[in-house]
Amino acid sequence: MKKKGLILDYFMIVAIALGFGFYYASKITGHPDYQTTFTGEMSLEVFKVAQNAEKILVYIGQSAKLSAQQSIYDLAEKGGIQEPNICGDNLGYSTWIRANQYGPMDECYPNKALIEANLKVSISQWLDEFASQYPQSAIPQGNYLFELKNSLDIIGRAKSDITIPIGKKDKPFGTYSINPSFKVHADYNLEDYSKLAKKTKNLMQACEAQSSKEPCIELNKRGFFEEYDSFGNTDFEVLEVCETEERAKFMQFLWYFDNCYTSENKNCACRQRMPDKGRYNIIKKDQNIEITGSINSKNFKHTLQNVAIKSDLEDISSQRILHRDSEGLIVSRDFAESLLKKDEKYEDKFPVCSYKPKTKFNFCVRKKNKQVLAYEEDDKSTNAKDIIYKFSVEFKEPIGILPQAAP
Amino acid sequence: MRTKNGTAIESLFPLLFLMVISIIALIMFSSCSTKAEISKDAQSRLFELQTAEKLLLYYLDSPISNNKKISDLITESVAKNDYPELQKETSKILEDFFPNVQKGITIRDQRDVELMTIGTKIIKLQIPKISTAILPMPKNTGGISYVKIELRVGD
Repeated sequence: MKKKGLILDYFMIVAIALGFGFYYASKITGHPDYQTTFTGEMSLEVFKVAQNAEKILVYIGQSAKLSAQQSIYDLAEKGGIQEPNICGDNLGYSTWIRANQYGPMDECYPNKALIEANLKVSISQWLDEFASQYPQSAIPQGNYLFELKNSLDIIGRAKSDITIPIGKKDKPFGTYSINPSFKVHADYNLEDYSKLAKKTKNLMQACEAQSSKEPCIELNKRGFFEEYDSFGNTDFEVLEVCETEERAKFMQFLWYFDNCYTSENKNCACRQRMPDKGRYNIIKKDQNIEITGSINSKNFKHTLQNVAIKSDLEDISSQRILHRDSEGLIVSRDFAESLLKKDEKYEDKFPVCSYKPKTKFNFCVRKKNKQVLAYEEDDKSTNAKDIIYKFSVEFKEPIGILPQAAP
Repeated sequence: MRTKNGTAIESLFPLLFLMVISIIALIMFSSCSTKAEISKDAQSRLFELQTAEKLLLYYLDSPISNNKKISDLITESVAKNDYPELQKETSKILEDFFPNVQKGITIRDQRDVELMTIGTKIIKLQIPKISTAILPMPKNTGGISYVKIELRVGD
């Protein structure tokens, strides 16, 4: 064998060794581009991502159901009106119908378009809250355009797809996109609002001519709202109590303040209708006042617009009531007492203020045979809850009946 | 250069070359075999994973009454912290999946605290076949923001 031929053999051995060296080196380090470590890993990754995408859709579908139920519940609590109501409110209950001194009644109950718009906003907000809880922020916020159909299908059309990287985050070998649009059914009829508005209007018309509205309302409200159909069924039930004990006390205080504020007497004590529990503060905020209350360790807050007081009134309770001074401004009993002479007693000196006849009425009407899973801030609980429509009406103030100071 | 018996060393190079080629061929064969094993393993994992994932989605989508699915019952049960009805319905659904296969469902909160388990709890497997999905919880449900549903499938 000649030496020249042997040199070729040496090169062959070195070349083959280099080739295998490269093969094993690339096998250990994985795919040079995607760093996969075994055959089939890419397929496995694609499959995992596809399954994760399916799970995201399940989460969104379930979130949409919960959002719809919560929104239906919340909106009914607000009488279908989210934004400030033109007719105002009575102790937090949206005023649906307000009698006008000079013409026909102002009708401010929500129409279908407004209810739909409010529901969409509420569902979107709740859905965003649920989306924010999903691990690794995989679900984008504010991604839906909503459509409501029949009674009640909620269709959420996604504005953009959800894109999930396949493979390692820093070096993905592809992306997987899904369209997260959904359709959920809520078994609810928006017509409830128009039915209730019609019944409310009829009740108001029936009681409008009465000089004393309260007995008329109490006597007739069940008859109007719980009206039975030809099959003996009724959709609604009037509730006498629909707030927690604490909120009811707070509302009683708001009513007490309103009565005292609107009284036309001077130098008198606002003794009537003061709740027996709780401590309350009335704080000036520009043109408005903010009333806060603490009852059984639960705190409440309500703002009354365009109401003026002389100065902040703090720690008002059944022991420290409100008082109307010689100018008709509200002060605390302590302040009035401090101005008395030594031998004068508060109870003897000041009569009880008389209040104007009641013209504003709140209603709580429960939808029968229907419950939704919802969260309630007052009792901080989530469970199956009745849908309760809360709203109010306002009659004209009676003419010719002048308020008088009680003896 | 020559060996002791007088053979020229250069004349042995073709033999050495053949030996090297044989060794390389053996390495290649063993490598292909390992490669095939890994590929088979990946396929097996893919199949098992697919089974567990599909079963989990089937479970969550299972209807239990008009307009109500097991996913709705999970939310309600966690909100009420009351699981007997969910356990009963879950048992029924699990019985429908491959009757002879071990299966188990565990529900945990976002901190991995176990809320409910039904079916076979511990399955010893070389490759764990566990699929997990997440469901939302209504606001302030006892500090639980979401729950993880784990499905385990055994041999």
